[in-house]
Amino acid sequence: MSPQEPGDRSLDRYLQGDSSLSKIYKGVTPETPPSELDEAILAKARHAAEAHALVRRRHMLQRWMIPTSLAAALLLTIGLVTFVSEHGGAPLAPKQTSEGRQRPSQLPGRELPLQQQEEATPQPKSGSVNEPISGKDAEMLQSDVASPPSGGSQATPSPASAPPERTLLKEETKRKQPRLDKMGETDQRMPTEATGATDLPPQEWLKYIAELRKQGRLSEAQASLEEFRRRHPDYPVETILK
Amino acid sequence: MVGQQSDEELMLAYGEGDLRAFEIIYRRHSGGLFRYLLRQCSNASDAEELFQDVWTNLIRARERYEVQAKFSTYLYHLAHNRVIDHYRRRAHNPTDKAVNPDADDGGPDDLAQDGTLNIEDRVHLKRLASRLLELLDRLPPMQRAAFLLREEGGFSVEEIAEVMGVNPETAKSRLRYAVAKLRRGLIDDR
Repeated sequence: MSPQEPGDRSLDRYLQGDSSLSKIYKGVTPETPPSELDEAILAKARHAAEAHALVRRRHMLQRWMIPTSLAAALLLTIGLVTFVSEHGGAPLAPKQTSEGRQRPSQLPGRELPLQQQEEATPQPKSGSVNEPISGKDAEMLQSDVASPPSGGSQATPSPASAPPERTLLKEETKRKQPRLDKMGETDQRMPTEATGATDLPPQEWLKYIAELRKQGRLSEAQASLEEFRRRHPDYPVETILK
Repeated sequence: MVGQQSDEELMLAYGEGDLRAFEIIYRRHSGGLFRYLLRQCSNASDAEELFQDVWTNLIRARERYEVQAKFSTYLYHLAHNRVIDHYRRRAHNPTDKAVNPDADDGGPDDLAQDGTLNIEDRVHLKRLASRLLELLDRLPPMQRAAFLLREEGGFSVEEIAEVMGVNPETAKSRLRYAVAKLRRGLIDDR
């Protein structure tokens, strides 16, 4: 180990911290950065911190986006599966139909005539739900009935003599009518509806035709009117239809 | 308490977005760092530009900051590198080759020992301080840097070496020459 040089001794004393050189240096006016510079740097730091917070928030959102989406999809699926299993996997309309099938046996006998009366009387003002049904639909619905009458007669009997199965058939027909409207089967239904009105008294029939016109079902109204004129050639049509 | 945290903890906190931590760091180091740059440039405008660059670099590096050494060493290392860039840009030779490495002062060990330095005399001290700045300005940049790192940053020889990116012997040599020349200059001025 070499002996310390004079310069080293001087440096050691200086490094001890109480040398006169350090004291003189500390006597120098301590300059500080201008306040504008301070503000500019602190503003930069603030901006960077805000940007950092923004980026972190965005990363947080991105990180949770996929799990949240998956959770939402899972919840939706579970809800759907639960709903389907609760309803026996069948859509609502057929369920109502099956309830309808059970109804005749459950209903008391005195209620049947009331239903038959309702079916026998067309209700044109109450909208498409209560409109008369076409023969084609009646055939289709007849095939849905569990025990069709023997002989397979498809002619519509008079309401008064209709057995409970027939009442059921008409009820089914009423329920299915909106569906037919949606299917755009107006043209198929038109002549039969017109024919269906033949059971009405002339006055009611004409009111029915007027209602059809109001609803914009002009071709049906026209067909019904022609049928009316054929059946009642002398009836004053214009006075009522005006 | 935020104010009692170390520089390193504060810098990490700022890396996490804590602006208050940065403000404390800035308050602690802005003065010393500014004077270090000012004495190195001898030009207030350049010093301000460098000062802003150093802090901007620190702000940019906030997320990459890792505690590997003292924060102040890291900060002054950024500043030192920026000063060297500044010298290079101005075609100023930052090396101290012109200085004779063998020319140790061998002069007075301590000004106070001569009895010539009356510390109580503020006027005299002021004059000496002014003279010291002139002498400091004449020092080779690396010797000046070593002296300023000691005075403004309070670094040990090893830390000065770390800031300057040299081995401790080189740092010690630069500091020794700087101290010797300043002392000699002050004595000669009497």
